[in-house]
Amino acid sequence: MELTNQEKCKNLMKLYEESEGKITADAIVNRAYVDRLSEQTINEKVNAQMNSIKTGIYNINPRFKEGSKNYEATRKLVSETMADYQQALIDLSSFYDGKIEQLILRKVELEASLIGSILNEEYLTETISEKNNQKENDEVKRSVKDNIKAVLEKIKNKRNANSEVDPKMITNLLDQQEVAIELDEKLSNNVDQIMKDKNDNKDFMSKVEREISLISSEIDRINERKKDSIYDAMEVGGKELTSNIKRIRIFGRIKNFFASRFNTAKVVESTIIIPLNERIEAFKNNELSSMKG
Amino acid sequence: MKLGTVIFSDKAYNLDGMSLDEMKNLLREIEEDKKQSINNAKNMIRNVE
Repeated sequence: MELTNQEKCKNLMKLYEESEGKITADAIVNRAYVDRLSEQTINEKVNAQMNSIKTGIYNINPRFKEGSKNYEATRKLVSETMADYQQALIDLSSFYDGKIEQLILRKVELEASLIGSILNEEYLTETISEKNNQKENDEVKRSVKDNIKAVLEKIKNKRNANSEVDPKMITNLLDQQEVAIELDEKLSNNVDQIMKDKNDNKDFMSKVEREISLISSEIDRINERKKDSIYDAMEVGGKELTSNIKRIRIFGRIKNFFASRFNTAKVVESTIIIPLNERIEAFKNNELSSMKG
Repeated sequence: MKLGTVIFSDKAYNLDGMSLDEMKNLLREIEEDKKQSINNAKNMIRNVE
């Protein structure tokens, strides 16, 4: 069913009014999703590292717990190291989140301009229709046409009466024709220019829609890359921690006997905390710093 | 970090209480709704060539 102009304008106005809210909601949820994804991935990674430390400590000395000698010092050391570890992961995710934020802002800008182009499209369509009407019913053009008709009529009557045609009349007719042609060209140019604007607007809309779609895919891609980067960050492929722990395992059955005799806190520090700190520092100085440029 | 509340389709969504999947679904819903509005508007505009 064909809509009336009034209904169409009403619907377009509604689209314009609602769009602002939808574009804003999309940007806010998108940004929140990015933050939540970072937070969740970092938490998973930190928990996995924490479990790995706990397993490492248990393997060194299963009896090392609250109340044990130097337990508090070790706990403080682990907590400081883990805070550093978490901060490095937050810095890493911020690098990706900053990029995504730029893309979200660009998407907002493009979506707003897409709505503007749709309204412009309707405006140009209406203008073409108006200009075509104007071209057909232009008063000056009509008056010039009437003048030409009147002069032609006069010439025709003179001929019929075998009277001499005044050369001024011919000149007048030619002038009027010239004016008519110029006027017609001017009115046609107006319509052509708006048709061109309309085509440019259509091309712009397609370009904007393509860019919006590319940005959406790019946001998904960066989110995935961020997740992978967080999971891969500061990993040793299970080499360092296990090899250090293996050294302790050589004791086998007599491990428990010896465990109470060596300084567990020192062993934890040298086999778990120091290597982890080295990995954190190496990560900050290499991967992270090269990312930040 | 507080994520806040967002209004969509006359409903308020508390982002802090939503899971990642719920957020993803809401995001998809908003995207679909936006696309539909744009397509409706484009269909509404008559073509004068």
